[in-house]
Amino acid sequence: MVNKELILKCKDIQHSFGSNKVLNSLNLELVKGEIKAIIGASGCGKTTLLKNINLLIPPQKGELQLSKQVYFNNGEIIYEPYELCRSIGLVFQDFNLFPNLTCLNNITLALIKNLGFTKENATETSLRIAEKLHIQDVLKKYPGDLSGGQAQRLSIARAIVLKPKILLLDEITSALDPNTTQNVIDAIKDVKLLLPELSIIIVTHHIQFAERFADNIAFMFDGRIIEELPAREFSTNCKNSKTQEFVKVVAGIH
Amino acid sequence: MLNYNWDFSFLLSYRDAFLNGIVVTLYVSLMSFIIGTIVGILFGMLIKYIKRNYILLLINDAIRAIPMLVMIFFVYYFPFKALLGINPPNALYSSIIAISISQAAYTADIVRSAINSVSSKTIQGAKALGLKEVVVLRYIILPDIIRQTLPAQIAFLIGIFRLSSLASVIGANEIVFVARTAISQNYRSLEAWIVVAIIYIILILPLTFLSRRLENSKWLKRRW
Repeated sequence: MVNKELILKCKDIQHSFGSNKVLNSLNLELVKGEIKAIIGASGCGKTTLLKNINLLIPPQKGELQLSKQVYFNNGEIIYEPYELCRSIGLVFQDFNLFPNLTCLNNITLALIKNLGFTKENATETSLRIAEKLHIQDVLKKYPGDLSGGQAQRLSIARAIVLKPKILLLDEITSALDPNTTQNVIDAIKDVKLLLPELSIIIVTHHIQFAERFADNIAFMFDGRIIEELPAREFSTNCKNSKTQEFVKVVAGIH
Repeated sequence: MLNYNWDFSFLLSYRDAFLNGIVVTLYVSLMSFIIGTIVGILFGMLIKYIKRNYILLLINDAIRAIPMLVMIFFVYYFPFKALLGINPPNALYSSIIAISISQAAYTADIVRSAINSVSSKTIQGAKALGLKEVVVLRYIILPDIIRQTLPAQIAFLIGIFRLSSLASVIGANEIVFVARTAISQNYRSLEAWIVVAIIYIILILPLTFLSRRLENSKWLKRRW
Protein backbone atom coordinates (compact mmCIF):
# COMPACT_ATOMS: atom_id res chain seq x y z
CA MET A 1 0.00 0.00 0.00
CA VAL A 2 1.52 3.25 -1.18
CA ASN A 3 -1.08 5.59 0.15
CA LYS A 4 -1.26 5.59 3.93
CA GLU A 5 -3.86 8.30 4.44
CA LEU A 6 -5.89 7.53 7.56
CA ILE A 7 -9.58 7.36 6.71
CA LEU A 8 -11.29 5.96 9.81
CA LYS A 9 -10.25 5.99 13.42
CA CYS A 10 -12.21 4.40 16.26
CA LYS A 11 -10.93 5.40 19.67
CA ASP A 12 -11.97 3.71 22.89
CA ILE A 13 -15.39 2.62 21.62
CA GLN A 14 -17.69 1.23 24.31
CA HIS A 15 -21.14 -0.23 23.92
CA SER A 16 -23.21 -2.42 26.22
CA PHE A 17 -26.65 -3.94 26.03
CA GLY A 18 -27.83 -3.95 29.64
CA SER A 19 -25.05 -5.36 31.75
CA ASN A 20 -23.51 -7.11 28.77
CA LYS A 21 -20.45 -5.18 27.58
CA VAL A 22 -20.35 -5.85 23.86
CA LEU A 23 -17.61 -3.42 22.90
CA ASN A 24 -14.99 -2.67 25.50
CA SER A 25 -12.49 0.09 24.68
CA LEU A 26 -12.17 -0.94 21.07
CA ASN A 27 -9.56 0.77 18.90
CA LEU A 28 -9.39 0.47 15.13
CA GLU A 29 -7.73 2.31 12.25
CA LEU A 30 -8.39 2.04 8.56
CA VAL A 31 -6.35 3.62 5.76
CA LYS A 32 -7.47 4.67 2.29
CA GLY A 33 -8.00 1.75 -0.06
CA GLU A 34 -7.45 -0.85 2.62
CA ILE A 35 -9.54 -4.01 2.86
CA LYS A 36 -9.67 -5.09 6.45
CA ALA A 37 -11.35 -8.26 7.65
CA ILE A 38 -12.52 -8.43 11.24
CA ILE A 39 -12.91 -11.98 12.43
CA GLY A 40 -14.08 -13.41 15.71
CA ALA A 41 -16.55 -15.83 17.22
CA SER A 42 -20.30 -15.24 16.94
CA GLY A 43 -21.59 -12.72 19.44
CA CYS A 44 -18.25 -10.99 20.00
CA GLY A 45 -19.71 -7.65 18.92
CA LYS A 46 -18.68 -7.46 15.27
CA THR A 47 -22.07 -6.38 13.94
CA THR A 48 -22.51 -3.87 16.77
CA LEU A 49 -19.17 -2.36 15.82
CA LEU A 50 -20.30 -1.78 12.23
CA LYS A 51 -23.59 -0.23 13.36
CA ASN A 52 -21.62 1.98 15.76
CA ILE A 53 -19.31 3.15 12.98
CA ASN A 54 -22.11 4.45 10.75
CA LEU A 55 -24.14 5.59 13.78
CA LEU A 56 -27.12 3.37 13.03
CA ILE A 57 -26.71 2.59 16.72
CA PRO A 58 -24.36 5.26 18.12
CA PRO A 59 -21.76 3.96 20.57
CA GLN A 60 -22.19 4.88 24.21
CA LYS A 61 -18.65 6.15 24.65
CA GLY A 62 -15.61 6.85 22.55
CA GLU A 63 -14.57 8.89 19.56
CA LEU A 64 -14.98 8.30 15.84
CA GLN A 65 -13.06 10.14 13.12
CA LEU A 66 -13.57 10.19 9.38
CA SER A 67 -10.56 11.56 7.46
CA LYS A 68 -9.26 13.11 10.72
CA GLN A 69 -12.56 14.92 11.35
CA VAL A 70 -14.32 13.92 14.56
CA TYR A 71 -17.91 12.94 13.77
CA PHE A 72 -18.83 11.37 17.08
CA ASN A 73 -17.49 12.19 20.50
CA ASN A 74 -18.71 10.63 23.75
CA GLY A 75 -22.39 10.57 22.96
CA GLU A 76 -22.39 13.72 20.86
CA ILE A 77 -23.18 13.29 17.17
CA ILE A 78 -21.29 15.93 15.26
CA TYR A 79 -22.37 14.95 11.75
CA GLU A 80 -26.03 14.10 11.29
CA PRO A 81 -26.31 10.41 10.39
CA TYR A 82 -27.89 11.12 7.02
CA GLU A 83 -24.87 13.20 5.99
CA LEU A 84 -22.52 10.61 7.35
CA CYS A 85 -24.17 7.73 5.55
CA ARG A 86 -23.05 9.19 2.24
CA SER A 87 -19.50 8.54 3.40
CA ILE A 88 -19.97 5.26 5.20
CA GLY A 89 -22.03 2.58 3.45
CA LEU A 90 -23.30 -0.50 5.24
CA VAL A 91 -24.30 -3.80 3.64
CA PHE A 92 -26.31 -6.00 5.97
CA GLN A 93 -26.04 -9.70 6.54
CA ASP A 94 -29.60 -10.20 5.24
CA PHE A 95 -29.28 -7.36 2.69
CA ASN A 96 -32.33 -5.46 4.07
CA LEU A 97 -33.55 -4.44 0.62
CA PHE A 98 -36.83 -2.59 -0.02
CA PRO A 99 -39.30 -5.28 -1.09
CA ASN A 100 -41.87 -2.91 -2.56
CA LEU A 101 -39.45 -1.12 -4.89
CA THR A 102 -37.94 -2.46 -8.10
CA CYS A 103 -34.24 -3.28 -7.96
CA LEU A 104 -33.52 -0.11 -9.92
CA ASN A 105 -35.48 2.02 -7.46
CA ASN A 106 -33.71 0.30 -4.58
CA ILE A 107 -30.52 1.85 -5.94
CA THR A 108 -31.87 5.25 -7.04
CA LEU A 109 -33.96 6.14 -3.96
CA ALA A 110 -31.09 7.46 -1.84
CA LEU A 111 -29.46 9.20 -4.82
CA ILE A 112 -32.65 11.15 -5.51
CA LYS A 113 -33.67 11.79 -1.91
CA ASN A 114 -30.28 12.34 -0.27
CA LEU A 115 -28.13 13.80 -3.00
CA GLY A 116 -30.85 15.58 -4.99
CA PHE A 117 -30.19 13.77 -8.29
CA THR A 118 -32.83 14.04 -10.98
CA LYS A 119 -34.54 10.78 -11.84
CA GLU A 120 -32.71 10.57 -15.20
CA ASN A 121 -29.28 11.17 -13.67
CA ALA A 122 -29.93 8.74 -10.85
CA THR A 123 -31.03 6.04 -13.30
CA GLU A 124 -27.99 6.61 -15.49
CA THR A 125 -25.59 6.46 -12.53
CA SER A 126 -27.29 3.36 -11.14
CA LEU A 127 -27.18 1.60 -14.50
CA ARG A 128 -23.44 2.17 -14.75
CA ILE A 129 -22.85 0.66 -11.31
CA ALA A 130 -25.26 -2.22 -11.96
CA GLU A 131 -23.37 -3.08 -15.14
CA LYS A 132 -20.07 -3.19 -13.31
CA LEU A 133 -21.60 -5.50 -10.72
CA HIS A 134 -23.27 -7.62 -13.45
CA ILE A 135 -26.83 -7.11 -12.22
CA GLN A 136 -28.04 -4.91 -15.09
CA ASP A 137 -30.45 -7.63 -16.26
CA VAL A 138 -32.43 -7.84 -13.03
CA LEU A 139 -33.12 -4.15 -12.47
CA LYS A 140 -36.77 -4.39 -13.49
CA LYS A 141 -37.43 -7.24 -11.06
CA TYR A 142 -38.27 -6.96 -7.39
CA PRO A 143 -35.84 -8.01 -4.64
CA GLY A 144 -37.99 -11.02 -3.77
CA ASP A 145 -37.32 -12.49 -7.21
CA LEU A 146 -33.52 -12.43 -6.93
CA SER A 147 -31.09 -15.17 -6.02
CA GLY A 148 -29.00 -14.68 -2.88
CA GLY A 149 -25.94 -13.66 -4.87
CA GLN A 150 -27.87 -11.15 -6.97
CA ALA A 151 -29.51 -9.67 -3.85
CA GLN A 152 -26.09 -9.25 -2.33
CA ARG A 153 -24.74 -7.46 -5.38
CA LEU A 154 -27.84 -5.28 -5.38
CA SER A 155 -27.34 -4.30 -1.74
CA ILE A 156 -23.68 -3.52 -2.48
CA ALA A 157 -24.74 -1.41 -5.49
CA ARG A 158 -27.27 0.42 -3.32
CA ALA A 159 -24.53 1.34 -0.88
CA ILE A 160 -21.71 2.27 -3.28
CA VAL A 161 -23.85 4.36 -5.62
CA LEU A 162 -23.56 7.13 -3.00
CA LYS A 163 -19.75 7.04 -3.54
CA PRO A 164 -18.86 6.37 0.09
CA LYS A 165 -15.31 6.49 1.42
CA ILE A 166 -15.86 3.38 3.50
CA LEU A 167 -17.94 0.29 2.85
CA LEU A 168 -18.90 -1.91 5.79
CA LEU A 169 -19.89 -5.48 4.94
CA ASP A 170 -21.60 -7.49 7.66
CA GLU A 171 -21.16 -11.30 7.61
CA ILE A 172 -21.16 -11.20 3.85
CA THR A 173 -20.77 -14.95 3.38
CA SER A 174 -23.19 -16.28 5.95
CA ALA A 175 -26.45 -15.75 4.05
CA LEU A 176 -25.06 -17.56 1.02
CA ASP A 177 -24.17 -21.08 0.15
CA PRO A 178 -20.55 -21.84 1.23
CA ASN A 179 -19.69 -22.73 -2.36
CA THR A 180 -20.56 -19.23 -3.53
CA THR A 181 -17.89 -17.45 -1.48
CA GLN A 182 -15.94 -17.15 -4.74
CA ASN A 183 -18.83 -15.02 -6.03
CA VAL A 184 -18.51 -12.76 -3.00
CA ILE A 185 -14.80 -12.33 -3.65
CA ASP A 186 -15.56 -11.54 -7.30
CA ALA A 187 -18.14 -8.97 -6.21
CA ILE A 188 -15.60 -7.27 -3.96
CA LYS A 189 -13.06 -7.27 -6.78
CA ASP A 190 -15.66 -5.65 -9.06
CA VAL A 191 -16.26 -2.98 -6.42
CA LYS A 192 -12.53 -2.31 -6.12
CA LEU A 193 -12.20 -1.95 -9.89
CA LEU A 194 -14.96 0.62 -9.81
CA LEU A 195 -13.80 2.54 -6.74
CA PRO A 196 -10.07 1.83 -6.17
CA GLU A 197 -9.82 4.28 -3.26
CA LEU A 198 -12.71 2.76 -1.31
CA SER A 199 -11.77 1.35 2.09
CA ILE A 200 -13.65 -1.78 3.10
CA ILE A 201 -14.26 -3.44 6.44
CA ILE A 202 -15.60 -6.96 6.24
CA VAL A 203 -16.87 -8.79 9.26
CA THR A 204 -16.74 -12.56 9.00
CA HIS A 205 -15.94 -15.70 10.93
CA HIS A 206 -14.49 -17.36 7.90
CA ILE A 207 -10.67 -17.16 8.06
CA GLN A 208 -9.83 -18.83 4.75
CA PHE A 209 -12.23 -16.49 3.01
CA ALA A 210 -10.68 -13.43 4.69
CA GLU A 211 -7.16 -14.55 3.84
CA ARG A 212 -8.00 -14.65 0.15
CA PHE A 213 -8.92 -11.03 -0.37
CA ALA A 214 -8.16 -8.89 2.70
CA ASP A 215 -5.04 -6.76 3.15
CA ASN A 216 -5.16 -7.09 6.91
CA ILE A 217 -7.02 -9.27 9.36
CA ALA A 218 -8.01 -8.10 12.83
CA PHE A 219 -9.07 -10.57 15.47
CA MET A 220 -11.79 -9.49 17.84
CA PHE A 221 -12.25 -11.01 21.26
CA ASP A 222 -14.19 -9.89 24.31
CA GLY A 223 -15.26 -6.55 22.80
CA ARG A 224 -11.87 -5.39 21.55
CA ILE A 225 -9.38 -6.04 18.79
CA ILE A 226 -6.58 -8.02 20.34
CA GLU A 227 -4.40 -8.69 17.32
CA GLU A 228 -4.01 -7.42 13.78
CA LEU A 229 -1.75 -8.83 11.06
CA PRO A 230 -1.33 -8.73 7.28
CA ALA A 231 -3.67 -11.36 5.85
CA ARG A 232 -0.91 -13.62 4.47
CA GLU A 233 0.75 -14.05 7.86
CA PHE A 234 -2.36 -14.26 9.98
CA SER A 235 -2.73 -18.01 10.53
CA THR A 236 0.98 -18.67 10.79
CA ASN A 237 2.25 -15.65 12.71
CA CYS A 238 -0.43 -14.77 15.23
CA LYS A 239 1.03 -14.31 18.71
CA ASN A 240 -1.96 -14.01 21.02
CA SER A 241 -3.08 -17.30 22.55
CA LYS A 242 -6.79 -16.52 21.98
CA THR A 243 -6.15 -15.92 18.28
CA GLN A 244 -4.15 -19.12 17.97
CA GLU A 245 -6.96 -21.02 19.65
CA PHE A 246 -9.53 -19.59 17.23
CA VAL A 247 -7.35 -20.35 14.20
CA LYS A 248 -6.89 -23.91 15.44
CA VAL A 249 -10.62 -24.50 16.06
CA VAL A 250 -11.58 -23.07 12.67
CA ALA A 251 -8.87 -25.10 10.91
CA GLY A 252 -10.35 -28.19 12.54
CA ILE A 253 -13.81 -27.42 11.15
CA HIS A 254 -12.87 -26.62 7.58
CA MET B 1 -103.38 -22.62 -5.31
CA LEU B 2 -100.27 -20.53 -4.87
CA ASN B 3 -100.71 -17.43 -6.88
CA TYR B 4 -98.79 -14.17 -6.82
CA ASN B 5 -99.46 -11.53 -9.37
CA TRP B 6 -96.07 -10.17 -10.40
CA ASP B 7 -96.02 -6.56 -11.49
CA PHE B 8 -92.80 -4.66 -12.09
CA SER B 9 -94.40 -2.10 -14.37
CA PHE B 10 -95.13 0.51 -11.68
CA LEU B 11 -91.39 0.80 -11.06
CA LEU B 12 -90.83 2.17 -14.56
CA SER B 13 -92.13 5.56 -13.55
CA TYR B 14 -89.46 5.64 -10.81
CA ARG B 15 -86.62 4.99 -13.26
CA ASP B 16 -85.07 8.43 -12.94
CA ALA B 17 -85.49 8.38 -9.18
CA PHE B 18 -83.67 5.02 -9.02
CA LEU B 19 -80.85 6.27 -11.25
CA ASN B 20 -80.51 9.28 -8.99
CA GLY B 21 -80.59 6.94 -5.98
CA ILE B 22 -77.70 4.94 -7.43
CA VAL B 23 -75.68 8.14 -7.86
CA VAL B 24 -76.43 9.14 -4.26
CA THR B 25 -75.48 5.70 -2.95
CA LEU B 26 -72.21 5.78 -4.91
CA TYR B 27 -71.50 9.32 -3.75
CA VAL B 28 -72.15 8.60 -0.05
CA SER B 29 -70.18 5.34 -0.14
CA LEU B 30 -67.15 6.54 -2.07
CA MET B 31 -66.87 9.88 -0.26
CA SER B 32 -67.13 8.16 3.13
CA PHE B 33 -64.61 5.56 2.06
CA ILE B 34 -62.06 8.07 0.77
CA ILE B 35 -62.38 10.54 3.65
CA GLY B 36 -62.52 7.77 6.26
CA THR B 37 -59.50 5.96 4.83
CA ILE B 38 -57.28 9.05 4.67
CA VAL B 39 -58.26 10.19 8.18
CA GLY B 40 -57.89 6.60 9.39
CA ILE B 41 -54.35 6.20 8.03
CA LEU B 42 -53.29 9.45 9.72
CA PHE B 43 -55.07 8.50 12.95
CA GLY B 44 -53.51 5.03 12.91
CA MET B 45 -50.04 6.54 12.52
CA LEU B 46 -50.78 8.99 15.32
CA ILE B 47 -51.80 6.13 17.62
CA LYS B 48 -48.66 4.25 16.63
CA TYR B 49 -46.14 7.06 16.95
CA ILE B 50 -47.22 8.97 20.06
CA LYS B 51 -46.12 7.66 23.40
CA ARG B 52 -49.23 7.88 25.60
CA ASN B 53 -51.81 6.57 23.19
CA TYR B 54 -54.21 4.91 25.69
CA ILE B 55 -56.88 7.60 25.29
CA LEU B 56 -56.66 7.53 21.49
CA LEU B 57 -56.90 3.74 21.52
CA LEU B 58 -59.93 3.90 23.80
CA ILE B 59 -61.66 6.47 21.58
CA ASN B 60 -60.93 4.31 18.57
CA ASP B 61 -62.33 1.18 20.20
CA ALA B 62 -65.41 3.09 21.41
CA ILE B 63 -66.21 4.40 17.92
CA ARG B 64 -65.94 0.90 16.51
CA ALA B 65 -68.42 -0.31 19.11
CA ILE B 66 -71.16 2.14 18.04
CA PRO B 67 -73.67 0.69 15.54
CA MET B 68 -73.73 2.58 12.24
CA LEU B 69 -77.42 3.45 12.60
CA VAL B 70 -76.77 5.05 16.01
CA MET B 71 -73.81 6.94 14.54
CA ILE B 72 -75.98 8.32 11.72
CA PHE B 73 -78.69 9.45 14.15
CA PHE B 74 -76.05 10.95 16.42
CA VAL B 75 -74.56 13.10 13.65
CA TYR B 76 -77.96 14.00 12.16
CA TYR B 77 -79.48 15.13 15.46
CA PHE B 78 -76.30 16.63 16.89
CA PRO B 79 -77.01 20.27 17.87
CA PHE B 80 -74.37 21.81 15.57
CA LYS B 81 -75.84 25.32 15.84
CA ALA B 82 -76.11 25.37 19.64
CA LEU B 83 -72.80 23.68 20.45
CA LEU B 84 -70.51 24.58 17.55
CA GLY B 85 -72.22 27.61 16.02
CA ILE B 86 -72.24 26.10 12.51
CA ASN B 87 -75.13 25.14 10.25
CA PRO B 88 -76.06 21.46 10.60
CA PRO B 89 -75.27 19.22 7.62
CA ASN B 90 -78.21 17.86 5.60
CA ALA B 91 -79.15 14.19 5.54
CA LEU B 92 -76.66 13.40 2.77
CA TYR B 93 -73.67 14.96 4.48
CA SER B 94 -74.69 13.69 7.92
CA SER B 95 -74.51 10.17 6.49
CA ILE B 96 -71.14 10.84 4.92
CA ILE B 97 -69.76 12.21 8.19
CA ALA B 98 -71.11 9.29 10.22
CA ILE B 99 -69.84 6.59 7.86
CA SER B 100 -66.47 8.37 7.48
CA ILE B 101 -65.96 8.40 11.25
CA SER B 102 -66.64 4.70 11.45
CA GLN B 103 -64.45 3.89 8.44
CA ALA B 104 -61.63 6.02 9.93
CA ALA B 105 -61.78 4.05 13.18
CA TYR B 106 -61.61 0.68 11.42
CA THR B 107 -58.81 1.86 9.11
CA ALA B 108 -56.82 3.28 12.03
CA ASP B 109 -56.92 -0.09 13.72
CA ILE B 110 -55.62 -2.11 10.78
CA VAL B 111 -53.02 0.54 9.93
CA ARG B 112 -51.74 0.44 13.49
CA SER B 113 -51.15 -3.29 13.32
CA ALA B 114 -49.76 -3.09 9.76
CA ILE B 115 -47.08 -0.63 10.88
CA ASN B 116 -46.01 -3.12 13.52
CA SER B 117 -45.41 -5.71 10.85
CA VAL B 118 -43.31 -3.58 8.47
CA SER B 119 -40.00 -5.34 8.70
CA SER B 120 -37.57 -3.59 11.05
CA LYS B 121 -34.79 -4.86 8.78
CA THR B 122 -36.17 -2.94 5.83
CA ILE B 123 -36.33 0.21 7.94
CA GLN B 124 -32.76 -0.34 9.15
CA GLY B 125 -31.67 -0.72 5.55
CA ALA B 126 -33.22 2.65 4.77
CA LYS B 127 -31.64 4.35 7.77
CA ALA B 128 -28.22 2.96 6.90
CA LEU B 129 -28.49 4.76 3.56
CA GLY B 130 -29.11 7.96 5.49
CA LEU B 131 -32.71 8.34 4.30
CA LYS B 132 -34.68 10.78 6.45
CA GLU B 133 -37.73 9.71 8.47
CA VAL B 134 -40.15 11.42 6.07
CA VAL B 135 -38.66 9.59 3.08
CA VAL B 136 -38.76 6.25 4.90
CA LEU B 137 -42.39 6.87 5.82
CA ARG B 138 -43.43 7.94 2.32
CA TYR B 139 -41.49 5.44 0.18
CA ILE B 140 -41.02 2.42 2.44
CA ILE B 141 -43.62 2.28 5.21
CA LEU B 142 -46.68 3.81 3.53
CA PRO B 143 -46.62 1.63 0.37
CA ASP B 144 -46.22 -1.43 2.54
CA ILE B 145 -49.18 -0.44 4.72
CA ILE B 146 -51.38 0.16 1.68
CA ARG B 147 -50.38 -3.19 0.22
CA GLN B 148 -51.00 -5.02 3.48
CA THR B 149 -54.35 -3.41 4.25
CA LEU B 150 -55.83 -3.41 0.74
CA PRO B 151 -57.82 -6.68 1.02
CA ALA B 152 -59.36 -5.54 4.30
CA GLN B 153 -60.14 -2.14 2.78
CA ILE B 154 -62.04 -3.70 -0.10
CA ALA B 155 -64.09 -5.65 2.43
CA PHE B 156 -64.76 -2.38 4.25
CA LEU B 157 -65.83 -0.72 1.00
CA ILE B 158 -68.32 -3.53 0.33
CA GLY B 159 -69.60 -3.05 3.89
CA ILE B 160 -69.96 0.69 3.37
CA PHE B 161 -72.02 0.19 0.19
CA ARG B 162 -74.48 -1.87 2.17
CA LEU B 163 -74.42 0.31 5.29
CA SER B 164 -75.08 3.43 3.20
CA SER B 165 -78.65 2.12 2.87
CA LEU B 166 -79.12 3.20 6.50
CA ALA B 167 -78.90 6.80 5.30
CA SER B 168 -82.49 6.34 4.08
CA VAL B 169 -83.78 6.51 7.67
CA ILE B 170 -82.82 10.17 7.94
CA GLY B 171 -84.12 10.89 4.45
CA ALA B 172 -81.06 10.80 2.22
CA ASN B 173 -82.53 9.90 -1.18
CA GLU B 174 -80.37 6.89 -2.00
CA ILE B 175 -81.58 3.59 -3.50
CA VAL B 176 -83.45 2.22 -0.49
CA PHE B 177 -85.16 5.56 0.12
CA VAL B 178 -86.44 5.58 -3.47
CA ALA B 179 -87.69 2.02 -3.08
CA ARG B 180 -89.52 2.89 0.14
CA THR B 181 -91.15 5.85 -1.56
CA ALA B 182 -92.26 3.71 -4.50
CA ILE B 183 -93.63 1.04 -2.14
CA SER B 184 -95.57 3.50 -0.02
CA GLN B 185 -97.21 4.97 -3.11
CA ASN B 186 -98.09 1.64 -4.80
CA TYR B 187 -98.45 -0.88 -1.95
CA ARG B 188 -96.20 -3.41 -3.70
CA SER B 189 -92.96 -4.22 -1.93
CA LEU B 190 -91.53 -7.54 -3.20
CA GLU B 191 -90.82 -6.27 -6.72
CA ALA B 192 -89.21 -3.08 -5.45
CA TRP B 193 -86.93 -4.92 -3.05
CA ILE B 194 -85.92 -7.40 -5.76
CA VAL B 195 -84.87 -4.47 -7.96
CA VAL B 196 -82.94 -2.91 -5.05
CA ALA B 197 -81.18 -6.23 -4.35
CA ILE B 198 -80.19 -6.60 -8.00
CA ILE B 199 -78.80 -3.05 -8.08
CA TYR B 200 -76.66 -3.77 -5.00
CA ILE B 201 -75.45 -7.07 -6.46
CA ILE B 202 -74.41 -5.32 -9.67
CA LEU B 203 -72.60 -2.60 -7.72
CA ILE B 204 -70.78 -4.96 -5.35
CA LEU B 205 -69.90 -8.00 -7.48
CA PRO B 206 -66.99 -6.29 -9.30
CA LEU B 207 -65.46 -5.48 -5.92
CA THR B 208 -65.80 -9.09 -4.82
CA PHE B 209 -64.06 -10.24 -7.98
CA LEU B 210 -61.33 -7.68 -7.43
CA SER B 211 -60.71 -8.84 -3.87
CA ARG B 212 -60.54 -12.46 -5.00
CA ARG B 213 -57.96 -11.57 -7.64
CA LEU B 214 -55.94 -9.69 -5.05
CA GLU B 215 -55.91 -12.72 -2.76
CA ASN B 216 -53.78 -14.58 -5.29
CA SER B 217 -51.75 -11.62 -6.42
CA LYS B 218 -48.00 -11.81 -6.20
CA TRP B 219 -47.91 -8.07 -5.74
CA LEU B 220 -49.59 -8.35 -2.34
CA LYS B 221 -47.29 -11.06 -1.11
CA ARG B 222 -44.10 -9.27 -2.05
CA ARG B 223 -41.83 -9.81 0.90
CA TRP B 224 -38.14 -10.11 1.23
